[in-house]
Amino acid sequence: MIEPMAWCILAPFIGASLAFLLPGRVWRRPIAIGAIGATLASVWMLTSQVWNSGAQRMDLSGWPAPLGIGLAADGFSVFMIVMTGVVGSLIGAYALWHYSDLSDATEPAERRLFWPLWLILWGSLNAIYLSSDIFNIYVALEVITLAAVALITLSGKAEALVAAMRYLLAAFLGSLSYLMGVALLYATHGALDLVIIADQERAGLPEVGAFALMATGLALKTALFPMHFWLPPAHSKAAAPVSAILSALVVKASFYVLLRLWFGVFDGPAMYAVGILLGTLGSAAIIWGAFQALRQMSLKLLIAHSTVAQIGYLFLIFPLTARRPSGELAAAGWITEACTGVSYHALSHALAKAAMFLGAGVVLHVYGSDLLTNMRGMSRRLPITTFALAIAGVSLMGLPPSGGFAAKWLIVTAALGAGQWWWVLVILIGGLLTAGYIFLMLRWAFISEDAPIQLRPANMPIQLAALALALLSVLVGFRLEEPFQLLVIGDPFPIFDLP
Amino acid sequence: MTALLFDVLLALMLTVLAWRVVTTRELLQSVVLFIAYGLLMAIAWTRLDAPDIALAEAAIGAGLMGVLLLDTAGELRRRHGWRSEGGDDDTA
Amino acid sequence: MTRHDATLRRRRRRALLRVRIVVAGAGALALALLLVAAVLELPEGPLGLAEEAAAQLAHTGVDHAVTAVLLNYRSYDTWLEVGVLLLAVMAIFALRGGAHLENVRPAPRRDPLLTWLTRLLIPMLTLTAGYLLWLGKFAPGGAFQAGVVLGAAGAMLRLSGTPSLDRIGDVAIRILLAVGFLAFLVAAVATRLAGLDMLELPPGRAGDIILMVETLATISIATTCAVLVMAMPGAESPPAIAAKDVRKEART
Repeated sequence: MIEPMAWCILAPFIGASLAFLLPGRVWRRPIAIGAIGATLASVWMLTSQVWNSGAQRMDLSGWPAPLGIGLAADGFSVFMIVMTGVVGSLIGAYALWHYSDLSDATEPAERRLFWPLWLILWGSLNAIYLSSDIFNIYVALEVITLAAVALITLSGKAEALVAAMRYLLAAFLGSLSYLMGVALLYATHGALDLVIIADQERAGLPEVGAFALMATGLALKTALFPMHFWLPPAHSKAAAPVSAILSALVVKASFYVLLRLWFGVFDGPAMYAVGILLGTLGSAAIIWGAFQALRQMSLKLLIAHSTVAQIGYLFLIFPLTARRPSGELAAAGWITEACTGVSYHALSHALAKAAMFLGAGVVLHVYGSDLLTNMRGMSRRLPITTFALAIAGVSLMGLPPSGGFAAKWLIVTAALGAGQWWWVLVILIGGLLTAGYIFLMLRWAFISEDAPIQLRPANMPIQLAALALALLSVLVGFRLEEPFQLLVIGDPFPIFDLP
Repeated sequence: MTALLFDVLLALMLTVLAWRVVTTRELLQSVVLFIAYGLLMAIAWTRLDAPDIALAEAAIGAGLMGVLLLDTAGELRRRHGWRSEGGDDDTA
Repeated sequence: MTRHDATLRRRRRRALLRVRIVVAGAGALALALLLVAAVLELPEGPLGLAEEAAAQLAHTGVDHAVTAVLLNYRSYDTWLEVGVLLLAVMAIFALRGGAHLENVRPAPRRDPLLTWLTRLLIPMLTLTAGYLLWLGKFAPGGAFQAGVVLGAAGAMLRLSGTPSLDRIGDVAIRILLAVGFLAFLVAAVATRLAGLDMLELPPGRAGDIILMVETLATISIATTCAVLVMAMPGAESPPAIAAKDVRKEART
């Protein structure tokens, strides 16, 4: 009997090995479908296990921590793994179509390599969410970076190569910074396991330095303003399914690690100031990213800049969960809202953003370009895709009833409860700007074309993947109870003020 | 005392080499300096009682990386000719 | 564009470069100060897992602590690292536009001296690699070092124009590249099915299993290094790139 936790990593890795080894023309489809199915089954098993019997932990190599590496799954891990599973398999369904141009007899790299790369990436995302070891997290982050860079280069365009190179250098700088922090933490605590480190006494300057280094590295990898410069080109120049994977899933992994460190390792007099700093950078990202999105003339660049803005909301969790120098919580009584709100934002953004990039992929396929001005007449030619883009936009704006609304409502509640009203102002302005760029984007779709133009047809299944993701991003706003119950299993945010 | 002197010298040379690798304008020269840096780094690891890392650094950092970088530098020269003032030509 | 514009632009770029150097320098200085301050405040005395790793060494199947960490205590990390190497090759394949070495130009140089030297060195490098692999059980060495030395032999063959990996089949190359990753995968599933913890090595047979996994990892690492050298941009026949770009244009 292999634990569901292990299966969540093994299943995609087995699929990746097969996809790399077996000839693609015959085997691509069965392997891809099999790997998605097996991974989803593992995710389901893990979810029901954690749901029914609480947080899980297992030792690897037969050596309990600190000597060995431990895997651990609590509610937050499972939440992220389910998010990755749902979004990942719908992107996979789209990719099955995207990389199956049967008229081409050759086997070009992008079709040959997408599945091994994406499956390794999926396995290592799960590995991050399950890891309890800060060095192991470093290794998994490296795997993710390299897989992501290779996926960007698959499109083969010169600008994609430049973007991938810049992304690679930025991400490596982030990794090195994180690794230095790991070294400092190990020298301070003599252990690498997150639980062991969290249980020890807080250790002053070396630990604060470690957190500063790790937070800088992880923020660079998450593309927090002003370290976001690499994101728009990298995310917009890749092929549509790759853009969706990067924007919806990959940036969340480094943010997840930062949250784990924030709650597990970091405490002390500087905490409040650091929290405010991270929240301020997040706010700057919200305004700046949305402002830049307003100015874009191409659909994919607009969506990519929107990611910069949406990442900003995630960082509002830090000021709302910080401890004041006096020791009391800045937002005592509202921690639950802050944590669930930000987790929910990660989920609804993943769904909405994947829907938008897949929709952009359809537009690119049909119109041959993703210039906004070329999208005339889209509402009649591609009603399903237009609808998908629109409702994904609704969730991004945070209009009720949608996942985005639920998330922002919770964050606003926490901010008001904590007396930090200025974040509410930022969220409101951000929401207005978001509405602005969504309307600018959709405006072209409803203008009728000047002259009838010859376009490529789009088949139904690919439009449905984007639609399903967009619908989910709205629907998750209707059912909050189960996700919230899941999130608190195993007390992933140790300062949760549960009733 | 000799050991300390050796270590200080090593640290100084590493710093100077690292600086030169970054600031040298000639690409090929920079690559050669980088290989030298890798070899000195291997010695530094030995001094730190980490022979395993020293071996890997010498083989990968100086050896394999050296081959790849030299090859790339050569290829760049073949395609574009020399670029003595690297910073000014990245117009592409 | 006039000459004047060009000068202006160059001047602006120089200024920007100077600003960047100043910013990078300030960042490096701040980092150095932070590290020095943090290191000075580190707890005194031996801390960490070195002692415990040494104490359990008898149960790991090897006599060298570093190998024990890499292949036993923290074999999961090493598995992911081997995955990183596999990804590196896939990235190279992605850049070349195909998961194969088919359009690699045969190495052009056939210098007699180089050929003679290669004949002399290849057996020695192979022997050294085998020795390093074996040495990992007792002393610094093991799969990574052995793999790089063996990979250097591959690079040497390439430089001297001797056909090697570039002439064996597609499928064979992919198998050689993946066996290291697969070895860990099989070990992970097999140990768990045998009722042990995942990747747990029973003390009696740990030494043999480690040697086997390391041998397969060496093969993959060596192939990876050799492929990295063979698939360098210069080795790609230009038509392959051009054809790919044209196809891209047609599709978008």
